[in-house]
Amino acid sequence: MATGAEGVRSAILRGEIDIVEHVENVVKELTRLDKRYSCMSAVSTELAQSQARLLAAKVKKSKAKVLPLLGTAVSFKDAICVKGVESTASSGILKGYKPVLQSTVAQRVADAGGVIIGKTTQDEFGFGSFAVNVGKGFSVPKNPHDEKRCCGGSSGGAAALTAAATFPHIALAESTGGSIAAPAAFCGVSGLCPTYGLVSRYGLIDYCNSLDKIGPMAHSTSDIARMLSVIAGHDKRDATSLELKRHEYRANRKKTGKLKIGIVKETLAEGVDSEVKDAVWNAVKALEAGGIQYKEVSLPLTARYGLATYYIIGVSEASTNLARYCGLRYGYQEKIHGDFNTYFSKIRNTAFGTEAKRRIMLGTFARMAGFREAYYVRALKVRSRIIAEYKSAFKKCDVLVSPSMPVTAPRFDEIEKLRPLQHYMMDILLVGPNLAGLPHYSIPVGKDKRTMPIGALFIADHLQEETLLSLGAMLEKGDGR
Amino acid sequence: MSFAGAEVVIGLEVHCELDTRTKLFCSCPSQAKENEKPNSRCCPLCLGHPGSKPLTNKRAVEYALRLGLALGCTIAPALRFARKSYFYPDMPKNFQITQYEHPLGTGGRLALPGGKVIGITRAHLEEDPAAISDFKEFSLIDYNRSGCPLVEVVTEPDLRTAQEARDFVGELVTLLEYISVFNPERNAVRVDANISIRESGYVRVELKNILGQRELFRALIYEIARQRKAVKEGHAIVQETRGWNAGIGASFTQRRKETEEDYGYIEEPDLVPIPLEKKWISALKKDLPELPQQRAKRFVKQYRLAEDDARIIAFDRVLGNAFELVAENVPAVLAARWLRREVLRVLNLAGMRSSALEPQLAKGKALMKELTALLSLVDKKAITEKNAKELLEKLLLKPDKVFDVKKYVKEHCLEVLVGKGAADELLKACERAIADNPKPVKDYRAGREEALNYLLGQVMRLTKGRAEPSETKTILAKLLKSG
Repeated sequence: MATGAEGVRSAILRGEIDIVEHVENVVKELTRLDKRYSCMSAVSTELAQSQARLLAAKVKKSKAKVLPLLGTAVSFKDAICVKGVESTASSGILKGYKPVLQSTVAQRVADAGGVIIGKTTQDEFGFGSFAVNVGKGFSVPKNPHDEKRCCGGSSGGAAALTAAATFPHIALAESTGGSIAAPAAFCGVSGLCPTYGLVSRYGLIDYCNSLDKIGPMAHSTSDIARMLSVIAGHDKRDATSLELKRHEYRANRKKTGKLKIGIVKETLAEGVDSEVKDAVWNAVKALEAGGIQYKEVSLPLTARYGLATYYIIGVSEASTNLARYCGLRYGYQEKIHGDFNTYFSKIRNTAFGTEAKRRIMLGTFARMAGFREAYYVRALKVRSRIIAEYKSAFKKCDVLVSPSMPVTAPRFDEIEKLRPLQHYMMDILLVGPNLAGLPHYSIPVGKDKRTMPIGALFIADHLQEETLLSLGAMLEKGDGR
Repeated sequence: MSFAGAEVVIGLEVHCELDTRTKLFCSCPSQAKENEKPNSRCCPLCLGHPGSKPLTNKRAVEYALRLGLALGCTIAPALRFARKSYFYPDMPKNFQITQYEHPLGTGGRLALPGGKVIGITRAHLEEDPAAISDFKEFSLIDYNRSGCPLVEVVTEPDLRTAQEARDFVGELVTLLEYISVFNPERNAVRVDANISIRESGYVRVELKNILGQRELFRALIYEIARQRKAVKEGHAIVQETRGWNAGIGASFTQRRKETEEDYGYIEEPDLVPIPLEKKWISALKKDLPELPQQRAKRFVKQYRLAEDDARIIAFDRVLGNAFELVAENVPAVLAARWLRREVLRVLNLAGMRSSALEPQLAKGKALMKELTALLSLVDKKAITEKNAKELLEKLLLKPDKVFDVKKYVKEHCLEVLVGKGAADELLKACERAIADNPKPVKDYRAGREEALNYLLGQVMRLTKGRAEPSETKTILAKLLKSG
């Protein structure tokens, strides 16, 4: 099979691949992969087939040349609504819910010739770092590098599918506090989380609206750039969408020679696995060989308060977002009896998973009268300070580097032994750029001795996605992959 | 406590629907259609579907700002929304998008008819929840109202009687209509009232969701009496939220509360703060019409109108404008009397609101010119009031078919019967009326003065209303005496 989005596109245009037949094979293969890795919440066979037929007609009429994603299989994290396809954020409370609206990203992908193949499994509503907190009735996705290990979360299914797919595929994932970079690192794929507001959130099932960002996962930087070009740019249906025109992102637009890199000191300190540290250092050395300078920088405030700030803001907003799920109008329902309070309490108690309930309680507490000032309001202030800390770091260097995750993917039995707070600690390296709304790119930079992938995280200033893409392209070349 | 010693202390939260075309955060229509079906004008946002996102309706913001400015509020530097969380079946998201720490307007004032000034704590924008109909076994929810724009006006606890509270809402509604953000035919006001009485030590009871001024008055009268009776009988008044059942005319306990309700407010993260630029605010301020209370005062001073006439004319924007235009050519007191009594009578008769005639009653418009011409004729006593009234009806009821009043009067020979020739005609008509109506003549002569009015009516009929009544009566009386 052809490789990459451009490979399949040109093969279809040349007539070497019949798109309808290709999509048949993709769906078959996807079903096989899902059986093995439990990476899908829903497979949209019918939608993919009907798209393929329409695209075939366009190819015939020579109208397909302008479609950058022609024939590329695109999966969507379950929280991203695809009209008519079950979209649940992998929560039992939305079981069976088929959106009546189309997310902007799904619309743009379809318009660009991408074939929507289904919804990837995630931690329920994005609440997790390992994709083990899937909702009731969902299966935990497995890491294709070792099925006894987790994929990372919350976009775990997206990373697993990206790692395992034998067909040209790009995943659309979503990050609130690190949910793109974490699973990308654990599964050995590239994952870009764009600047907050660059990609429309219209049609995204909210976790924490002020932090949620949709971004692509793929094997190559060129596919990442191609997808970003399709989904980025202003959308008037999302009030937080930045007023930027559509832009053709390229991995080779920025000259990398003069870039200055800052190694974030605190992220290579204690608590980070030594094999992970070594792999990140090797990547930096490889870049140095390409003429890039590096120095150490320090982000003390972010290191100290980032995690707490992220969780307070995250759970505060999440607990309000989840209030709408009450067994009326849509989603999980039972026969109504008793008053409203009794009914919705029963629904929510039955259909939400443990972590969702924990975050609702934490979030409700953090914004309660008497605590609100100390937690929620203060966290907002600290977020502003963290943004300022990053902004001053970017006066000294163009890109910041750290490991994506402090360890490689743990085994499921190891995860079971972790306490909730230890779970939360996994995000410590990722919450900073997420809180600051900064674009960050996790790139595979090696493997540990158990052959589990390691990811390095590159962070750039707001809207400097192309700098990250250029570095990615450079590492891919040097890497010899 | 500023209200120490007061018998009754009342503060209001008045929720006013705004007369926008679309809802506050989506493009669904905000005004009900005639005989519309429940849940027929809602989108995923109105229903709280996951993935839907709010977008702020600029017109609604402008309307709320207009009210804020008209109430003399300080306007916030930026528009910021908050989420107010509570579970209720009428709330599609189980939170309401409203304003919390940064209301659009703070610290305004509005005077009652007697001149007492009521402090306005704040005025803010928020979305309306859905409407619930409760039945014995079930409840039905209609989301058509869900997301409609409301402006909530919160008063200081400055009101002391049910009548004051009712007057306040009346003044507020007049103001809302005056600044063209509210249409009483389409939009409603719902009031929450906080009531406490001296005897209980001012324990605050909240009475929720009272529709309109009349119900507010009833509810407050009831609630004050209920609290007084309870204290008298030795029961403690507890801090609570009560509902008002208009059907049976009683309030009932909804929720006891030991402390304030905890709504867990957070900033609305789907909407970025929008700066309320000074330029925009001052342009809106400049565009505000002279407000009704000030205008009424000016009318008394400038035109020497009676306070009562001044209020009624000034509080109706269209009438007020028309009055000032007529008063340029006609004595103000006559203009005021005719606008207040006759113009309003004709409008009421036709079930019309003055706003329906706003375009035609503008400066330089034909209807405006002819109205002025008509009242000039009245002023010069060139036609009788009776005929003038008929002509006024003709003018106002068919505002698109304006005719030349002077020409009409001439063509239809409606000039009052005065002067040479005319006097003759009048005398003849009087003689005829007496000759044709022996019974009233007999009655009059028997001392029944009111029989003269009947004869006057006959003269009017005979002269097509051109007879000047007092002159006619004098002639009739003279003839009857001599005859």
